[in-house]
Amino acid sequence: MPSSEQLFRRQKILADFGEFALRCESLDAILDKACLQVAEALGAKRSKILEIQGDSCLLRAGRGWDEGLIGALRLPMKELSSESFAIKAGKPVITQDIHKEDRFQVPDFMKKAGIVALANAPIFLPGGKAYGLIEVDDTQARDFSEADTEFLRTYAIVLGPVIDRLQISTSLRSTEEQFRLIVESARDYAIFTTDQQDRIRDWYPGAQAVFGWTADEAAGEPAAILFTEEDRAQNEDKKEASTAARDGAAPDVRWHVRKDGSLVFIHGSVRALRDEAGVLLGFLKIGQDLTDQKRAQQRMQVLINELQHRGRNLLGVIAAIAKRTIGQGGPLDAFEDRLTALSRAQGLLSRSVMDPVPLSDIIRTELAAHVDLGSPKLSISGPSVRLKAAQVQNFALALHELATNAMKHGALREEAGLLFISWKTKGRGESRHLVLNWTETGVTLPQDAQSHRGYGRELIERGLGYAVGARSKFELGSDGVRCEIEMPLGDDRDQREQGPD
Amino acid sequence: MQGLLAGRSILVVEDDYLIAMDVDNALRQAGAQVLGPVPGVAEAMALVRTVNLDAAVLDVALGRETAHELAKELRARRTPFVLATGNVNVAGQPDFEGAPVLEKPVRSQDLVRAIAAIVS
Repeated sequence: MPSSEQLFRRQKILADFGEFALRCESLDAILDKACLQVAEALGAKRSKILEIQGDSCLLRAGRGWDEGLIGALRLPMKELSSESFAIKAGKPVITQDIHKEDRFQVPDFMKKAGIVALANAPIFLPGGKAYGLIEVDDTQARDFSEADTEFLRTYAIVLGPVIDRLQISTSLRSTEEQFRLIVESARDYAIFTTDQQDRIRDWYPGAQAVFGWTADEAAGEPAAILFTEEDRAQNEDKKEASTAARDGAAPDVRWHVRKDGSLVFIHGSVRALRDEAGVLLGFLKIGQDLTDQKRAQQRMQVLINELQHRGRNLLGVIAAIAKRTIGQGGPLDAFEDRLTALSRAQGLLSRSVMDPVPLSDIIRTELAAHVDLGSPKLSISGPSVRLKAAQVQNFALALHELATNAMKHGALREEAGLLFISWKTKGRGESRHLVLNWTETGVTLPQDAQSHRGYGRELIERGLGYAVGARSKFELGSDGVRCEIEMPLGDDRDQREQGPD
Repeated sequence: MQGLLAGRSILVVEDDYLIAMDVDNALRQAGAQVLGPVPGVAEAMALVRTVNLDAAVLDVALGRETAHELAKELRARRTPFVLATGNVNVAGQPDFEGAPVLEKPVRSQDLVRAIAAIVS
């Protein structure tokens, strides 16, 4: 029988441990303290705690053992060791002298350490799940008493719930940590929560990155501050929350407003948060910033509409040319020629849907269809000038008429014929003008020269003047055509920036 | 077609010269008195405000402008108009509500009939 002094001392050990466990949040420190206390209480030099991990058990804590073994040594559960025997037995096991033990094998590390006697008790977690065991080992034969095993058993019973609490809080902490890491590293996603009244509660860094408000600024504000004025006027913010409250979730795909007033396109959803009883706690809102993609999509739509419009307009132009050419008894090949000139102009325009086209490209492309650009009969010169898309088509058609006539009746047909095309700009800014001269020389004019130039002359004198404000002079000189076209260019900088409305 | 628009004054607003001439020709052949054609909103607005019109033909995209303001002005004056346009999505725009839409390329006889229908 233990002395009352011994009982008192062991009770005090348990009380001290209880107090320590209340304050300590580290499982390793708790287990180490337990090893220290049981070794001391049972007057042994060594003690250890084994933790079951799958089909082996780990030397999780210990006193008196080589430091390298703690946290590293594993004993397979299927080997019949003193430890696995005790865990399977589920009750305290005592071996007074291992030399006389026939129930199990003593592991090598125990033998090497000269262990002769041992006493242990299994540790159970609340609910009855086995955690492992706590054991004292001695290098001398020991007569462990029932009081000793009862003390160990009591200690193990106290230890179980303490281990359980720390394991749960550790796993919760790591879950919380993971959650925090995931949510805080999602910078392209605005993630935040609101309360029942849809006022902002949790505001994560992604939300700050997307919307511009800091967590301090956003907290407590109604989620409506993120909606555009128009959407607020339509109660879109309230509709979204009430849909989420009714259906569990609601899509949020719309333009929102940032702190600086700029717009951000969000593709996301709103989810109602409810407790276990189904009471609405608030909303979780997650959205991705797709502003760049949305803008690209909008620009694409504008371009598609522009192409659609241009295509249909072009059909109208072709129909008009057909009527003016074939409809008035003209030859089919004249229509085809005009069509190919139109096609060349479209080719220049299609290089870029909206950008202005270099004047020299228009001239060279048209002339190249009729004559070798390196021909000594031809001279093309002028500074770099760009025409707006709206000017290109009519200008190219007018040039085509001039070039065709020069081929058939003018400078490009005659042996002695020369064609000079030159241009310059005058004026600045809004009043900048192009002045282009088309001069043919060395031409013997036929009697009916006037009539051959009907359509070309109309296009130049009236067509260019109509929509693009050009002023043209067209005259038949004694040795060929002289044509001067003066056309407003507008500000050069505007031209480069011009785009769809 | 001849005479279908006899005595009617029709405003033509179209920014493309070749199409404008084509429309002009078609309306004259149907007996109309053509006002314009004009390529832009400002020229058209000046005519709308100073001349008595029976109807108008509007292209929607006029260079960098659109015919919306013009349509409002015509509505305010109860002058009917048709749209002759390459834009596919003008239908349903409030400024153009109720106006017949002819998609380019527009056949001359379709245009003349559409105008005849709104002026009768």
